[in-house]
Amino acid sequence: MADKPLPTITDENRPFWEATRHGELRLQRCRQCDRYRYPIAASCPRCLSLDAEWAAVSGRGRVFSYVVFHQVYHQAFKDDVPYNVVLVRLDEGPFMFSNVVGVGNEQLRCDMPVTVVFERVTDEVTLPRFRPEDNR
Amino acid sequence: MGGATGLVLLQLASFAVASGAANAVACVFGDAARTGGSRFSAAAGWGDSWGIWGMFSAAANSALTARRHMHEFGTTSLQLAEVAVACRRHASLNEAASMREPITVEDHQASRMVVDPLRLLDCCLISDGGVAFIVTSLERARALRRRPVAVLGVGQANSPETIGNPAWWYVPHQETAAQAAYRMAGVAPRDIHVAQLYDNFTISVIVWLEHAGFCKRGEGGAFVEGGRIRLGGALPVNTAGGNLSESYMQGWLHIVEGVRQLRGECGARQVPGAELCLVTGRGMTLNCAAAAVLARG
Ligand SMILES: [Zn+2]
Repeated sequence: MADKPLPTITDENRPFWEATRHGELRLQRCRQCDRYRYPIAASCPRCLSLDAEWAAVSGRGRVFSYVVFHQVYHQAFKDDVPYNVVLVRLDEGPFMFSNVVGVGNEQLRCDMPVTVVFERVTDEVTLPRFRPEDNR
Repeated sequence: MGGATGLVLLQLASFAVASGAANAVACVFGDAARTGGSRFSAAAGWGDSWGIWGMFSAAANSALTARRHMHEFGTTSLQLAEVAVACRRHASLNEAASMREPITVEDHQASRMVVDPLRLLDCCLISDGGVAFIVTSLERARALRRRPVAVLGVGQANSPETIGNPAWWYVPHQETAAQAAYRMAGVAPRDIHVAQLYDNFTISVIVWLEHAGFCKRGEGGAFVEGGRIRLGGALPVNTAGGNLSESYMQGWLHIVEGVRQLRGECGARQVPGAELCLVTGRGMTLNCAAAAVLARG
């Protein structure tokens, strides 16, 4: 059976994956306009500046939207269906895809607060996922 | 440009003819996605980053849109079903359509989940086929045997961003494309008699109804109720069955159906007195959008 896809680690995205390996979520922040951005990109999509730093973010956000896969599009996920994919809006602004763990799919809601958790997949890759965060 | 390609080529061909660069332009499409193997289940988005979390397929992008639309505006799966039922009813009147067996809302609700909240009957077909149309000057077209159809207005709008744009899920560039087409045509949504709206998934029709100005933001779900988009309703939509039930020619047949309606060639599915038709297309994840206003020549 095919393995699940893993990120292709490049010079551009290495700081992201090194941070998750150490249990930290870091995103690019534009030094020109101070905005955080994701997806990872060479230039700021708002002001086009190439000047950015990797800055730690809170790891907190809300589920903007979510879907539950019943169809198996990739054989490596055959035993996972039904599984969720969520679009999380981080408190710092950017959106990222992920999964919510530790809760049944039927309990997912748009705008539910979540916080990042880290799941080691290989020696090199640790995936950021999210779990529900109460009291927010 | 995926499902926007046909309309984008219509735009380019119209400009080429209007500028004198060409006398006539043939726009041609062919696909063998059904027998040749579908490409539509690949990792959604660009690069490898989305598949890491199991995010695959065009269906999932539209499912995210549907879920958020449901959350913000109260849109329901029963309203999505209305779109599927209308398209299938129209296809049942179209001898060339692939799926002609009528369906009910209950059939839609009983169809299997693909990517929740989208069920099988929310999804377009995967088809083999070809489509062509020819663009020339109205003067030249008037000398031909068939009734001409005029391209009154065309517009396209594209977004280079996906999730980097907070409004990406709602594909706001669709509104830009539709407005450009209306502006060039000098018409308003209330002038349109029949619409061919890109329907890769049922939710796309609901969002297009909002972006094309037939109702306000968030009202697309309520708009499709009560048979409003069926033949005989206030705005018949996808009168040949659309991508959902006629054939998935990535929106090219929407242009063809617009032409046929305006020529009055549609027989049992003809919209009486159809003089203006809006056609829309959308492709490349959610990123390319195009629209055209066609008129009886
Ligand atoms: Zn910037």
